[in-house]
Amino acid sequence: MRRSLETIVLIATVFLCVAAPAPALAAPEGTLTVAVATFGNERWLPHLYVGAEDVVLKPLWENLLSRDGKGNLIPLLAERWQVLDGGRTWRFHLRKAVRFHNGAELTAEDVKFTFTAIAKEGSANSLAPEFRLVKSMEVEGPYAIAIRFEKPFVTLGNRVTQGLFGSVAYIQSKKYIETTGEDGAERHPVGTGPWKFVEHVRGDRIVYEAVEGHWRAVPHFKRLVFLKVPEPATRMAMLRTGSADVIESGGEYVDELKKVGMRTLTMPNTVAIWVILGGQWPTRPSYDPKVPWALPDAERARKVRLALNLAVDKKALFQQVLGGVGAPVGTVNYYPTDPWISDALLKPIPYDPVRAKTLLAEAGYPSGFEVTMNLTAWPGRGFLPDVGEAVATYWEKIGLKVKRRPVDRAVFAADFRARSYAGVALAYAGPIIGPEPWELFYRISYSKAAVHLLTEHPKLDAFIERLGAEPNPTERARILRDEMGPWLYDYMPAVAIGATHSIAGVGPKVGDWPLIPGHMGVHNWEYVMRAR
Amino acid sequence: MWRYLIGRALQMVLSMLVVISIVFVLTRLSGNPVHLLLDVNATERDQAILTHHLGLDKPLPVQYGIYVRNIFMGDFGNSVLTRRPVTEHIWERLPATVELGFVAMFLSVLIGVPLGMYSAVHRGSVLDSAARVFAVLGQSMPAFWLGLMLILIFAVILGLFPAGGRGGVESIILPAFTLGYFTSAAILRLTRSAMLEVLGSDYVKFARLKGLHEQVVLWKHGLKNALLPVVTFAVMLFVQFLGGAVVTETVFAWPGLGRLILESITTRDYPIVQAGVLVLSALYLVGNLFVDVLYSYLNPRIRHARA
Amino acid sequence: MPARSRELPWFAGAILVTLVLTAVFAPYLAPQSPTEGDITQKLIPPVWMERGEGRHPLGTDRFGRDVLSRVIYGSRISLVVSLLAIGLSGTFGTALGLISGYRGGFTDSLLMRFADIGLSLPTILIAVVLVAVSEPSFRNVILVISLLLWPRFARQIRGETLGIKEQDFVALAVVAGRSSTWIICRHIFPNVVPTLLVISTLQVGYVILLEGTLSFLGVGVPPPNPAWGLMIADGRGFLATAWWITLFPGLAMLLTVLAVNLMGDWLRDHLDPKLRQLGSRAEAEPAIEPVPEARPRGAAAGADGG
Repeated sequence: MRRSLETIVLIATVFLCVAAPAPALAAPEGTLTVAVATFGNERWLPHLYVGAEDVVLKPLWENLLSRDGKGNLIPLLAERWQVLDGGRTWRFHLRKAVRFHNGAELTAEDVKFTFTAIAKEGSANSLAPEFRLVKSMEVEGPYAIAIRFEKPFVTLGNRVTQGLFGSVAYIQSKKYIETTGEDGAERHPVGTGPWKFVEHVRGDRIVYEAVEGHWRAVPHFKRLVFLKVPEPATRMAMLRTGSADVIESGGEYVDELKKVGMRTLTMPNTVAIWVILGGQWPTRPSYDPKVPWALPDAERARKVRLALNLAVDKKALFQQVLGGVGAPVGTVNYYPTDPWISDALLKPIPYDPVRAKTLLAEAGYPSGFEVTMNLTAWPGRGFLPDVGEAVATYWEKIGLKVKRRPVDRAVFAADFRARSYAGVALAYAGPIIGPEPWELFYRISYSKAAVHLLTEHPKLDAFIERLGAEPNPTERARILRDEMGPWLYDYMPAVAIGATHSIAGVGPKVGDWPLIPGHMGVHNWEYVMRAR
Repeated sequence: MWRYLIGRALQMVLSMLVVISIVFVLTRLSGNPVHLLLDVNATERDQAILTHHLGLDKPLPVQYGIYVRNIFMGDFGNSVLTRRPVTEHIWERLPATVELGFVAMFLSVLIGVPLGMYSAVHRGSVLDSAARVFAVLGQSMPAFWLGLMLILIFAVILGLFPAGGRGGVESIILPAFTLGYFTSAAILRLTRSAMLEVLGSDYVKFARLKGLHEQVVLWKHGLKNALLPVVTFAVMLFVQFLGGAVVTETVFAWPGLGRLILESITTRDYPIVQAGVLVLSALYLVGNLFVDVLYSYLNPRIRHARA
Repeated sequence: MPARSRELPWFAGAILVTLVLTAVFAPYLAPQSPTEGDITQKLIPPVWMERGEGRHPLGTDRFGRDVLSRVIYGSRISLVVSLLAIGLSGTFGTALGLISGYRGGFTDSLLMRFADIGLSLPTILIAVVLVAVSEPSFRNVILVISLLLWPRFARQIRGETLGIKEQDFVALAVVAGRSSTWIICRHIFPNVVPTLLVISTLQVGYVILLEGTLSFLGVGVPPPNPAWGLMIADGRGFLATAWWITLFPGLAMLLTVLAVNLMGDWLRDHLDPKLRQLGSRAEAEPAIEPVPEARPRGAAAGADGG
């Protein structure tokens, strides 16, 4: 649903469909080395990985469903499925003769086991809150399972699909984990994916080997090695010298990669960037009504929000800070290719520092106010501190005093849980963990969820609940376009920046790399071809 | 001698206790690892369960007591992240760490000693100054900068060595040089002043009077006697390289102990940070003791002074 | 000693004088503001290159800030950080060293054990933990560095004190019934000043490098401060497209640290007759600590500290 076919820009030339992969002609050969900044939690059980580490986990496992170029759900481990009872029941029919790397066949018991593990108490899996909504799971024979919910869960398909970020509902083997024990399964995990586990040295390397005769795709390379290289300049040098064949990158390095003659691979519109104006949770003790953009005086808050938006030249920001990778969008967490985008929602609030200053004065801040800009580098989103710095510089031009506060992720997460973000701004990038914008808001700004990174507001709650219960995708798209979008545009305590792309730097050993339309990020290592 | 050693050992145990306490307090102050282990949308209950599971819900003095007791029983605890024994993770890093430390020390001596000797023999000459400037230069830029420059020149442009990661012999040269060049200035100074002293001593003068060849005098009498401080210093360097090479290990993606500890700080993996720092401090103190003993054993002057 | 090495190191001296003058007169020398930038003016190359502009003689950085102005203002940060950190740790370390050396006995053992513990902690890692506990700020960087430096002063000053204590004039003062404080202040302290000066100078380079390293690890002076270390760290991934944003602060740092180290070496040879006389014995004696570099901690922590 998320993006239509014609907008998929493929810098690598060919493309291939997941549903009908061309089998590799030659036997797998050679090694594909990928240098990444982090491995995340480095855990191997469904309730122990979070989701951010999917880049290094995806080779090993598979989800029930996949996505096509239009964002429609298509079969993967499940060959078909039904949504019944307005989304209260989902029935999946599994593909037969899919085998785990230890030889055991995939059955419905494995699905039940995995989903139960994800929902466990104390589970780290980012899908846990949603899988806890499951009322019951019935195994209907070896290849069928029915999952029932109390209330309709219309987007379960997006939770169990390959291709989105953090899609870590990978099906694991019940029997293997039960017989080997959790420790054993962690030391040598098995999955159904096109790569099997060889070695994991914590904080250093993860090594996979191609599964010959895999049901879906036989990799072109024999070995897939992930190296953890925290220093970006070293990753670049490794790519240039051939010590690495693929590196994760960001818009900030695009010019540099071009300059040194490296190829880049772009997966468009995978991450939405905005600057959060923190502290908007009026029901919580940490709420500070004196913050300029706080609610009590709605008119003042609106003026301040508008001024902070008008102060930032989003177009220049994309050009200069993000290497021209991506485009501004006016609404938070909407993408230019969304079916529910409209011209009005797409158009960013213009760059007008003079009007911004006037508005600030009208709001009672003729000489600005003090604000703290948190600078946190998220793995894979290394451009965020740069965005924060650029926005801070713009704000200073309309008279704000901006204190930069570099925080590491542990401090950030703790502050965030304590909701101690009154008066603090922070650049944030939401990756596509669900194609519809409300799916992300459900996680980060729904007052009944555990945390609210962004804001909480009865109106937003109402949107989330309404959309979550609406089984008709066309009607959901209408609500997103005509109701929620405009509301977000006006109300959201944030500076919307826009959508950016995932970038990979690619070395000479890599041949064609058919990005799979509908799949986010560069995760599909089994389709990477060897250079001739 | 034995009394002295036992005394020192006791002092060391006490020192280690202080180190443990400092690191314990610091890590606890730095935040709860649970925040990073769980997704941002984990519930309070999930956090509570995991916190309890990790034993982090107990009062700090109790946690401290358990920790110290376990250490005395040889148990450093499990990594918060992997829940495997900390010792397993530290052992995993040891080969790479020892390898890098050893080669770096070797390179440091290889640069520092000849330059130091040369500079002592030709004291005051332009070449003396040049040698010293060369060595001091290595000490005048941040290691990460030197490392990145070496990568750019020797890996990217000349293609002589790999840019990062631990592979064959060739992969160790650049990180070891980054460390070794930095410390070579100190070796040079030590060698130089030790040589100057030795060369001014009576028995070298006597050797010269005997008509021995100047090179023989230098290498046999001079260096041999100047070597002791250099060797002991090199031993301590090695000990220090084991954990003190954080930046170099990061720049070269070298899987060493320093990086393990650094990354464990960012993930708040307390047990690894605690055990890691403890091991490094212990190595330092043991190294120090070793050097002291070596001295009093080899150098009668000091033995007398101590007595 | 041959005449040559007796001469003042003019090169180093000139650089240091320039540095201090630059720092003092930074507002008059810098053509632009060091922190205000315009991202549309980013990565303008130095003036002699194609696309270079006269307004930005050394070009602009990734946020359109003037590199020359940042390098000029950066001298202030380097100077202030090293002066404050060394002042703080030097005062504390010297005081403890004097007390420890003069008192001897239990006080001495206790204080020196603490200094040993301080030296045995892995500098960089502890700095990272400390900053994680607090948060990166100018003040915290200075505090962290001071906390890591004081044992070096304490160890060395104590060693000096031990020697001075044995001399006749101290014994006379004791006989004359002078208080310990009086003796330490009037007799011992003046005699350790040369050593203090030497250690302090030799630490300046280390502090500047340490500040840079902390920036590399993301726990140094926070942006947008024009700290050299931060500038180098910030530009390290853009060497092919914009080498000037790292080269110039890098050169400034290199020259400064080089000059300070050469100056320190010279001072050590000339100002401190005791060290000169002791020669290698003092350097080799593990219990005394004449040159910081002779202590492995200094060297190896520095290996990365730098």
